[in-house]
Order: sequence, then C-alpha cells, then structure tokens
Amino acid sequence: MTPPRRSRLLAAAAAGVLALSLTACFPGSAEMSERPSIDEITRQYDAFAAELRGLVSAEYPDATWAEDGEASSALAGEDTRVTSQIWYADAALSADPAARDRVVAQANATAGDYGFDDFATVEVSDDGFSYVAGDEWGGEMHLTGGSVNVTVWYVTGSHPG
Amino acid sequence: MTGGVYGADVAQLRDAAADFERTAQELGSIRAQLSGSVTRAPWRGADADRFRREWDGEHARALTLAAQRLQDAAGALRRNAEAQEQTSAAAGGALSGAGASGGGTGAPGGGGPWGGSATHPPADATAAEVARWWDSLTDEQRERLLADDPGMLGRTDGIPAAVRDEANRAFLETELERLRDDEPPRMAGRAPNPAWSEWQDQIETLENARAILEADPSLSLLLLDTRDGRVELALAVGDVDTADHVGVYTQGLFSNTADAGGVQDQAQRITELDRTARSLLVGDGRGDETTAMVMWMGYDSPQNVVDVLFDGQANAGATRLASFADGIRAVNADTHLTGLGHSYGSLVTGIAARESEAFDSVAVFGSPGINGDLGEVNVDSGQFYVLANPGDPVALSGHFDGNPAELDGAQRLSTAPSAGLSGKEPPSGWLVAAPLVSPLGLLPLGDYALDQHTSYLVDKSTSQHNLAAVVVGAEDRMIR
Repeated sequence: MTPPRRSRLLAAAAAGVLALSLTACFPGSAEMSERPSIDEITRQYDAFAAELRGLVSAEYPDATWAEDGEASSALAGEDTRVTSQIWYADAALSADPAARDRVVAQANATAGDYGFDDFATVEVSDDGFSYVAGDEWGGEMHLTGGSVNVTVWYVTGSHPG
Repeated sequence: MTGGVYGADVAQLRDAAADFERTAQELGSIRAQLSGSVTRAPWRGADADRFRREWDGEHARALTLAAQRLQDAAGALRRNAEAQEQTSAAAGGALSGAGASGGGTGAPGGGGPWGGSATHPPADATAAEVARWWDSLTDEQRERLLADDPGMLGRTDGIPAAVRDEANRAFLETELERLRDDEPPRMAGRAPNPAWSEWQDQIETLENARAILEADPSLSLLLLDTRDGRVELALAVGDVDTADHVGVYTQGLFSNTADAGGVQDQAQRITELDRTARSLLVGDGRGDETTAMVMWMGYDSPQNVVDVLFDGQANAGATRLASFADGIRAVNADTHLTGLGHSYGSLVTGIAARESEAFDSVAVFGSPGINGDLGEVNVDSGQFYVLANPGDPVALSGHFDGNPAELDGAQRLSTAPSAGLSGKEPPSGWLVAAPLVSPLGLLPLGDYALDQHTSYLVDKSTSQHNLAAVVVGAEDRMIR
C-alpha cells in the first residue's frame, strides 16, 4: 500500500467516526425543564409569522396570502416538534433587493421580541433568497422568496406537550 | 411452493415452517458471527483484503440468500397449511388430513398473464413485473394477501407504497409477537448466545419503529424486513405513489436501525428536507407539484471503520436500492426521482444508479467516491450533483476511485456556510489532526471536521437548500 493510498484509506475511515454525530443532533441547548410548552411556543411563533407577513404586505399591499399544506407535529421522545404550514403570497420580493432588505431589517428589529436571533442569509440567488432566524430552543423561522412568491414557515424545537 | 400440497397434515406443515424459520435464523446468526470473525481476524495484506471482499460480496450474501429462501419457504408452508384448513372447512372437514388437495390460498385465478399466483409474484420478478402482477389481482385477493402475508407484501418492490405501509404496520405487530414467543436461550454453552443479542436488538428496533410511527402520523413504513437477523426499514414522508418529486436518502457508516435516536433524528431530517422542497416549489409558483422523501435503510451498512474501506456491502446494498427505486418508478411512472447519498451511502447510491434506470437525478454529499466515473450512471447529463464541504475529510479522500466532485459531468453545488449560522472557522492544524483513524483505535476528531462531514442535511444550511432544489429540479434555485 503506497503512502497516498494509506492516507486516503485513513481519511475514508474517518467517515465512520464522523457519522456518529448523525445520531447526536439535538435541537437547542436549553434544559428541557426550562422549555415553554409546545402550545406556548407555537402561539409565539404564529404571532411572529403573522408579523413577518405584515411586513411583506406593507411593501406589497396587493399581495394576497394563502397557505400550503398543514401544520404537523411529531413526538420527540416525551416532547413535541411542530412544523408549520407554509404561508405564501404573490410578492416579488426577490426582484426588489431594496424592499427585501427593508423587510429583513424590520424583521430583525422585532425578532428578539419573540426570542429569535437576527435573520441570517442562507442563500441568495438571482431568483430567490432565504433568511432564517433561530432561537435558543432550536426553533427556526424561515422567510424565503422564489421567482413568484414569498413564503414564511417555521419549525419548532422540542417542547413538552 | 405454489404447486399444491397433496395429502398434507396441517400440523406437520406448520412444524416444518417453524423448523425452516429456526434454521433461517440460525443461518443468519452464523453469518453474523462469521462476518465478525472475518472482520476482526488479525490478518492483513492482499490475501486478507481479497478474502474479505469475497466474503462480503459472495459468501455472506449466499448465506443471506439461503436464509431468505428458507423464510420464504416457511411462509409458503404456512399458507399451504391455511389453505388446507380452508379446504377442509369448506368440505365439512371430510378432507382434513391425508387425501386433501390444496396449495395456494384457495383464491381463484391469480397472477393472470403476469405469472405468479394469488399468493406470490412470479419468482425473480422485477419490480415492474411485480407491479403488473399486483394490478392483475382482484380486490379480494389483495385483501387476503394483506391478511395472510403482510411481510412479503411490505418488502416487495413494485407493490404500491400505500399498500406496503399498511402491510408493514401489520407485519410489525405480528413479527413482534412472533419474536416474543420465540426467545432463544441467553447462553450458548458457557458463552453468551449471539442469537439472543440479535433477538433482543430486533425487538427493540421494532418497538422503536412503532414508537416513531405513532409519534409522527405523517410518516409511512415502506420497508420492514427482519429476515437477515437485522431490521431493515424505510420511512417516508409524503405520498410516494403519487408525488411529482421523490427523494430517496441513503446513509452510510454506522447507520443502524437499532439506533433509536439516529432513526428518529434522520426521520426529522427528511421531514425538514421535504418542507424546504415544498417552500421552494411554492416560492416559484409551483405549489401544485407534490413531494415525498424516503429514508431508506435497507442494506447492511458498515458498522466499523474496517468494513467501510471496502465496497462489498455497498455493492450488495446497491442492488437492493436499485430494486427499491425501480419499485417506486413502476408505481409512479412520471415522478422525478432523486437518489440522495451521504458518505458510504453515496457509494451505494452511485452503484445503484448504474444498476437501475429509475433515477432522474443523483446527489452525493460527503462522498468518498462512487467506484468510477459517470459513464454508466443512468442519469441525464447534468443530473449528477456533488456537495462537499471543504473541510470534510471523507469528501476529500476519493477513496472509492476518485473524488466525485472531480468527475467529468458532475455538477458541484455550494455548501458555503450560512452567514452567522454555521460559519465555523477551521481550527489551526485541524487537517492534520482530524482524519487520524486506524483500525487499532480512534484518535479524537475535531469538532470542525465532524461538523463538516455531518452537517449537509442540517436545516437552514446551504447544502440542505441545494439538496431540496435537486429533488424538485429547481435548477435556477441551486447555489453553485
């Protein structure tokens, strides 16, 4: 076995150990006993999502909001995670970076009121953008835009039922 | 076993079935023991490597196949016994025992022009043939099959996903019951009995699968196979039979259905990936298109850092994954089907895409290679995507015939950290310290390298966004 081959073998072997972490992903770091109930947290997230929709509507008063899918919940051990439906509106925020930046700036100004950190860019392309904010419980609020619509949705961390 | 049983004694048939099942389980245990011995033997060098490859690729598979055949035969014996009883009951008991004719389930016809019978698809049928066989059955025959042999239906590629889900949920209960009634001795002589450990693992895995399904009603159970001593399973979110876009995700080293937390965590990952894919569709005004994601754990994935260096388990797994994909295609002909492979699972996916023509797209991430170039990979030009974090030692290794990111025709997609979210800077000197792993022991790996290899499907990441974009064919939304 040549040294380069051995090196590659060892590197590949590292994959196995690395894969261990696939089994060790836990949302958030706060103690479970301190967590709000799933009902409390979804009320808070719903309110924040409504505020985000309002910010978009302020830029696009004619935009109409609709919902895609339904909220779903899954038990995580003794706790529950909720994934919201997707709210979407025909607002071409992707094509208007100035309007997009205003929405994000205002969203960041209020994110803390709902326990979220600032929205951060996940990706920006010619036809779309995606901003995500997280909270201490492992929850995420998504504000994304495609070539046609803006979407708002969230997934919570694990919370007691 | 479809040719009928003449003059059979029902009790003897059932005894024979039990014998066959016991033998199949013993064969599985022997295979597991031998595989462990082959792996652990202090034997190095070319001869050792060759023998281990032969063992994985041929001998272990032959034992597995023999065990599966015994299980199949046991199922056929039980069905024949039931048919015998039904025939006897219909004749007022006059034909019970010797002299009675039977075989099959007693259901009329069966199989039609596609062969097989009302109890089994044709032997060695392809997924497409199975789908045609299923279509040829009457509602009554289907219901009887669901009642009589849910295990066979649930693991057979080409059966609609909705049927497989129903069958597997039923099989889950009967299998748990069977296992609980069939506890092997804890000790084999003075040593612990490996069959007992395997039995315990199977029960715990099945109970965990049941808990996950109960916890998340949106999941379906597309595969549940216990014939090989392990529990193989596939979980899905969305309607695989009708979805416009289906992703099939295959994991790598250490993925194990016995790992309760891991299965639950990965189920969450596919749910999040599906939601991101939906968001992409809705954002682009394609909200009328539908999605489904499958977490496929239907192969014997490497469980140690020696096995992962060889492709024997990938080759065996690829054949199964190819068949599974063919089954999706057979039922949902027009779907846009994507194979998603992580780490060693990317090798499985890459090989499967050579054996099957079912995939429209393939995306590999954290991949050590796919055993060659894209020449024989059955996807259209430009539909093979590679995601590799710059500090992922596995993706850098190119162990299985080269780094896939460097293959002609591969489309590289960005994994650039999201600003402010996961943009960790590599610690100084990490590249030297991180990948040092040897069969003799594991040296500590840095958090950075660990994160680089395992974070591709983390929600709110660029790589997860890109994988979702591949699944829904959103070329314009891919970040390169």
